[in-house]
Amino acid sequence: MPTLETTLRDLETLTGMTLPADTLDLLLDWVKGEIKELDPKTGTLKIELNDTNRPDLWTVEGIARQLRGGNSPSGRPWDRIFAGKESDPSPVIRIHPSVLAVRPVIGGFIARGPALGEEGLAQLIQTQERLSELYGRKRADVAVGIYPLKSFRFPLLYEAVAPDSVSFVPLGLDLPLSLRSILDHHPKGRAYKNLLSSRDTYPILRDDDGTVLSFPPIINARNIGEVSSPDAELFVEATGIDPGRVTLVINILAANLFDRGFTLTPVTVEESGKTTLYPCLEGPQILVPADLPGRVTGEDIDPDVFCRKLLDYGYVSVEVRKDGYHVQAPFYRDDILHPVDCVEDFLIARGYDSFVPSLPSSFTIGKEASTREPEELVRRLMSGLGFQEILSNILTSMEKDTKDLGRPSDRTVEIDNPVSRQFGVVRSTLLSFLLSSESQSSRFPYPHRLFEVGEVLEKTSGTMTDVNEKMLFSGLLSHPQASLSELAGMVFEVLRYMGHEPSLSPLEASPYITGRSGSLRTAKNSSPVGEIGEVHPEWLERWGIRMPTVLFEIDLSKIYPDFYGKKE
Amino acid sequence: MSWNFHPLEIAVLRALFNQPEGSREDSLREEIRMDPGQFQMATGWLKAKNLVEETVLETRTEVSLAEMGQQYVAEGFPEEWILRKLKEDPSLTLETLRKSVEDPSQISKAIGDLKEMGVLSIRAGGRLEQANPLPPALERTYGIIRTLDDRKSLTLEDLSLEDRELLGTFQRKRGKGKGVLRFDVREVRHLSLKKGSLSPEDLDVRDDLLGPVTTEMIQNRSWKGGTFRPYSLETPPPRPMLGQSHPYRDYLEEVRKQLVRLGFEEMSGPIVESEFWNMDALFIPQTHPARDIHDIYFVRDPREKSSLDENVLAGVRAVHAGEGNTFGSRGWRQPFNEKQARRLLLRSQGTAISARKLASGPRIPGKYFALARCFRYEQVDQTHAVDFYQAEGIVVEEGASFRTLLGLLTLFAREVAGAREVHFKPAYFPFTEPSVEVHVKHPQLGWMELGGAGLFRPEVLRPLGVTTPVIAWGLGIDRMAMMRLGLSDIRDLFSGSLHTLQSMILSRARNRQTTQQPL
Repeated sequence: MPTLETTLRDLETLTGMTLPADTLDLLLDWVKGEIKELDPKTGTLKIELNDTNRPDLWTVEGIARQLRGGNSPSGRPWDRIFAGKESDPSPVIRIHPSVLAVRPVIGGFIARGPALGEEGLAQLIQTQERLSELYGRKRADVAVGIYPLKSFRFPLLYEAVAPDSVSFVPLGLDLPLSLRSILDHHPKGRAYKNLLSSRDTYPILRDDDGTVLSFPPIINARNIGEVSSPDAELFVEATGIDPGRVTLVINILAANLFDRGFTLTPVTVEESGKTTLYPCLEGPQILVPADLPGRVTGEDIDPDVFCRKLLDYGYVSVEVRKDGYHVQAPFYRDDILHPVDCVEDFLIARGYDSFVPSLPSSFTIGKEASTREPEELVRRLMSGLGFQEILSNILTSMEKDTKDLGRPSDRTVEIDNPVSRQFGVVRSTLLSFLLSSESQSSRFPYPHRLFEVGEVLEKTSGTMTDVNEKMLFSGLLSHPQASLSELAGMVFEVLRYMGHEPSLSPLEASPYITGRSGSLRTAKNSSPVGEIGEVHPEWLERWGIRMPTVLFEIDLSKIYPDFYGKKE
Repeated sequence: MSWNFHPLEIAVLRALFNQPEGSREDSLREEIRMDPGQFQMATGWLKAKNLVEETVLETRTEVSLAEMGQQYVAEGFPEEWILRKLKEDPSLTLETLRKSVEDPSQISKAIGDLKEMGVLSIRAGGRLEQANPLPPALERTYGIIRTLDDRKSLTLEDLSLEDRELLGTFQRKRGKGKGVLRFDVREVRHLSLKKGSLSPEDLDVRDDLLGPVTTEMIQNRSWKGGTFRPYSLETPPPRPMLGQSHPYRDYLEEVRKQLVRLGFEEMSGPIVESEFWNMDALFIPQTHPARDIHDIYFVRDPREKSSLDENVLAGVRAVHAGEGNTFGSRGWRQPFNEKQARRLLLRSQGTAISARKLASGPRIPGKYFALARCFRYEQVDQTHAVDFYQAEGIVVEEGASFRTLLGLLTLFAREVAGAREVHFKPAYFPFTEPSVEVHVKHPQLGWMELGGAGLFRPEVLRPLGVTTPVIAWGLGIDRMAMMRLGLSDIRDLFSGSLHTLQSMILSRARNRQTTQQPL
């Protein structure tokens, strides 16, 4: 989730409000934000934004704007956003057909205003990063470039060129490098190389004199694309794959700069005769069916209140017609997918706490899953025998699950992208945690009687690998005289109480002593339902256990086939 | 004063009478050939009776490798590993280094340490540069640690003062929970009889007294006319191990009972899920960050489900792509990748089970819940477990609305969390609209998040064939369980240590003694 770092002072200046911490916390409900950190000394403020679908709110300007009900913190009406008229001739970016297969979309605008200042610059760069990294998915979908408006001239050309045909000095270096070398040697090049590695040509943005502004989405040119706090005239562009996403990013940046006191000049993008003007100030329109607010909220909604609350929340216009509410959202939002989204905005604007809770009215019968019965029986029987239940994580390491039990690894389900090797596989047995538990508890008074019942996974081989989820029931007995016979007696009795007549057949398997381990069988099953055995001292030593120990493991799915039908 | 000594106590006392100056604990025990556990019990009782004095002669600190330490000894320390990598590739950056390992947090920490020691500097673009060799002190520390292995330990006090200092510093810097070295402190004590407290006659046992009641004694009535030797009632009886269900399971059971009581029917679903049920059916866009490899666990083999449910696939595809019958939605307007939808992962949210239930024709009206084990890609620490339980569910009811949703959450707050004060915060989940987070005021801990909920979006319901409104809710039960069991570290919920388990059970018992506890 995006986290915004700003200062309380900046937010107070932009909102024009005094914001004590408790008020702020409640106010942030409006933007689905939460205070993560507020340093009373420095005034540093960190806000976590929960709405991953509203990138406009990931910026301090956007938050301030929403808190002001959609009014610009600059105090100016939105129709003053452009310096001239929208129809005035505007600077041009031409898209060359060569770039269409690589990264086809570009948009941009010019912003003139007061000098950015340190805070403004910091926020602008943060916004640029956040929009490119999070909304633009690490620049794959959208990447933003910002330039001081001095070292180049419009019109600009956006084209794709061969990797070695163009060189320029990238930000952070002193020497000109070819596009290919930038990808290989520049830190940003290496970081984002994967975005272009499958391409034969790379995008560049340059002016008619051949001055390179940038190599989107990788890096700007030094001197030309390096913004500093005194800059008051900026060119902002965004490139990407999807026109909708690029437009939204441009619109958000435009709104933010307007909020900071800038005035904009739009830029026209020409592509094979088609022209598009950026930013696009036309917000999305949607029809909210007349009965929807009432259906969603569960109470009668006065149409006037509905309209007023949406306008309070920053909507541009709401019109009541026969078929419902004709709603237009502001141009910096593109999150309204369905009319129900407008209804939520209405709820937020009115305040969640203003709705009177009412209980679901239908009668339904509560019921536990039938699969719980065997588990519960196991718990009752084992507790009666004096066994303590333990509970382990389902993720474990391959070593513990296989090697430390002397078992092969081919049936253990591995995770493709583990956080750490310690939790790299899904357990296929409960035995290793029982042993680990015993090894951690040598100072706890003996005898130790432990059991666990829980899910494990197992790869099944056939024509196609599949994953089988099983419910296992396992136990451990450990004390100076612990023996197979003692534990087998208990396990047999438990199985009898489950309606089975058990027996043992010889089993030679790790980590057991040969001749003191067996497969558990029941009269109703042709294949073994489990295993039991004394752990060989060699394996005890491996686990650091200094006490005779006996283990068993039973597949409950085989004892109760009807309860554990194969889940989808 | 008359004493009633246990035979074990008598054995220890006899030995001590023979040694007026007292004796080292270990040689005393050897002399009387007593089992360590029994010896400890006997001396414990005697100390409690204030008959025996003890002084600590010396402390022996046994240093052994903990889990992380074993890995380091086998594979090298992260600091060394980084420097070696850097030697192989001088253009190495922080980012590439972090990306090349499974556990980037370790690397970050090691780099931080190297920087602090002046070994490494970070240049423009995160490029790393070795400025100095590793400090000799650290090299020496590593050397000492390398003499250990999973069987071999060393005694700290046997080392030179300098080496002791090195290991001590290393351990302090790593912090306690990091698990490279384990320090086990053992004290060697000296025991002596408290002067004048006892005389040897006190130990004389009247041999005409009767011992334990035996079956023979009862049968042949040999007890007649005899006197039973009185037991010493100060002697603490041995503590047996109780067989109990796990306290966290008990907690889950209580939650389950509460939900059943409120009319909910339990659902279950598989641990290994397809992205389709875990994500797509819930209208989480295929490009959403929550579907990143840094957010969910993918299964290595098998990688994909062979097929998807054709009945619901078409609708789900439509709302994602924003093409065809999208049920009044603009959809995500992103191409829908079926291969991605088939990818197998470990269930990251219980909502996947709700989606399956909705697709399989739920009862209407119907109320359902699941207590599901879920997995999320997170560094394990005090507040993050590698897998955890989620309580999730749905209410399918004609006329279900935002107000019903708030009513249900208020009910949960009262019945499940025992809270009277509730605050509803706007929230965002891709699958619900409106969405809400419910915060409750805990009697001791103040405001805390109880869970999230909402009305399922039409983009979720309609492709699954549901036209009735559905409330979806989820409660964070791990945190409530921790409070109940007196835990500050979530990992303890899944601890294998019987000591931890016992302290959880006792903490719960104490809580129950004092107050009427909510779940």
